[in-house]
Amino acid sequence: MIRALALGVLLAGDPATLAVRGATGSVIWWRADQAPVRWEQPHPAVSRALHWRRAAPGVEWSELALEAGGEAWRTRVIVARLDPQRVRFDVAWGVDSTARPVWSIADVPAGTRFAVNAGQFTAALPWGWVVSGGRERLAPGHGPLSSVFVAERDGRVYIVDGDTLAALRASSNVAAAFQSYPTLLRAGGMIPEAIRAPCIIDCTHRDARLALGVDATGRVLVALTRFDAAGEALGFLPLGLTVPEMAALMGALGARQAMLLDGGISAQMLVREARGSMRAWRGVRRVPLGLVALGREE
Amino acid sequence: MSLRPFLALLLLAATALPADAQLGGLAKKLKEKAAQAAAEKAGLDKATGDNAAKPPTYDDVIVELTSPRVDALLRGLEAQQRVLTADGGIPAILKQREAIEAQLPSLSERANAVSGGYENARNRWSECNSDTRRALEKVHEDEARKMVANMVANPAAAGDRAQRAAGWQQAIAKAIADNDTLGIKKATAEYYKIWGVDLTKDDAAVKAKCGDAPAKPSAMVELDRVSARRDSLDVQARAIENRAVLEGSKASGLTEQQFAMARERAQMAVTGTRTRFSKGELAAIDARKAELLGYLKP
Repeated sequence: MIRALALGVLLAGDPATLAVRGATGSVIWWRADQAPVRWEQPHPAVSRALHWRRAAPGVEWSELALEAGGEAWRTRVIVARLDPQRVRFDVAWGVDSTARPVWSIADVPAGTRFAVNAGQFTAALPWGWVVSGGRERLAPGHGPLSSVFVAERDGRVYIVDGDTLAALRASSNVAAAFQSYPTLLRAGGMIPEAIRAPCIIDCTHRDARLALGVDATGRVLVALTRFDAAGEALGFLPLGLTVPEMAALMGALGARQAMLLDGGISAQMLVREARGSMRAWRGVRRVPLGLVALGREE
Repeated sequence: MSLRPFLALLLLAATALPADAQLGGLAKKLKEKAAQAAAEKAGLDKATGDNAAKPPTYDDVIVELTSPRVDALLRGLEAQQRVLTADGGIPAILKQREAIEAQLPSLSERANAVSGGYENARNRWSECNSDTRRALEKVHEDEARKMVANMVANPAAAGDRAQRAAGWQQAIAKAIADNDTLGIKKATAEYYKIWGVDLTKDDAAVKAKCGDAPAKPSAMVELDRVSARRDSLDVQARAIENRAVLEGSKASGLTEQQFAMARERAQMAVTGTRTRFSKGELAAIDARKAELLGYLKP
């Protein structure tokens, strides 16, 4: 009977799972066949596995060892959490006079407390709306599964879902903004239908991922996945989670809204430590847009 | 990953041991097999930790980067860059856009100074316009109703009016369905003409009562013109970028997806990430490294 059951499981195929890996073993906290459609609070197994390190004021970061399916059997997630009460955000424009992307974390100014590549891009330009230094650089793009990260002049940050941005565009309060896609979590932690089974977009492709979200208290969460089977030297190999898995990760981290940024070989992140040294997870290529966090007083 | 290839091995194991041990052993073997398969796919030897170059699985998207393919990639990159920068290309557009963006704050200020007065005047005129037309429509409806009643009472006197009226009613319905404002106005005028009602006099009546629509102040017109120019520059830039992607793919002879993937893989190889390439691919890429770096600057 037991043999028959075991064989039955083999024949059926196991659903994709996500587990946190610790000293005492792995704890599965998500299954594709039982995936929640809404994340109302962080997952306790994920929260327990996070040990936040204080970096520069307003910045914390932690690491998570994950097990997922296929190539993502060893995935490390670096999570940064930023307090908009203590940092202000800006978008760094990185397209040079020959239409090439030139931004990377290697070139951020000395006072930068946090930096990450932003948005998506095809050849030269970032996709969608870009406001940098209080000035619009590019008009909004159109796509119902897109979201925009907004930093207002008074420091408030939020994500707006969808592409109806006329009112926002007309506002004089926006200091920095960029669009990206796909939306991973809509307002209230809801996973968009397009990335729930059966997906409308490609939900099976695995890649190094980067996502940005905002939690219930308004803090910004940024999660970067790294391939973890051979140390940091190969961390930026484009192997990692699927889109639904990334949505689940952001929900489990406590995000109420989240969107994917350009992962793969573009993904890169920098955290300035409390003593001023730099912790960097580099990408392979330069990109046209970055998101930086500076001190509120700067 | 499919478990079916390991079924025979597991069946054999299942017959040899007690049930609990069988399940534990099965689970362990499955996990090891899955991990090994994933490692191999990643180009790693899990047992030895050797990161020797191992190619990925080539498919419709990931094509082998042979010498001819690298030549093709370079042709594509050159074609792409040519489109991006032809006649100034995207850089020139972005420069124009920046110049326009610099003008917008002062233009907005001037427009805002007069927009309140204009909007109030416009609203007053619109209300007068709507109220006057509504009153005239009611008069016309009453006139038409009387005519119809006479027609019903004296069918012989109606002549072909009913038929012509039905025809114009259909025309009105079609214009509404097509959202054709001018069509609706024309068909309605023709319909009422059948009943002896002349709607063309309505415009004169409205103008006599309400006057002409207030003209938009020049400051607002200028702001609209400059904003439209800015938006058209964005459209131009995006169009150039889309064309660059298409031309790059066409010149390379690869599909857009293949071209994008080849570009990413080449970027990884020339910037030092050399896992997941065959020896032949690395040799082909190294032979043209200097040229590739011209387009794929790290």
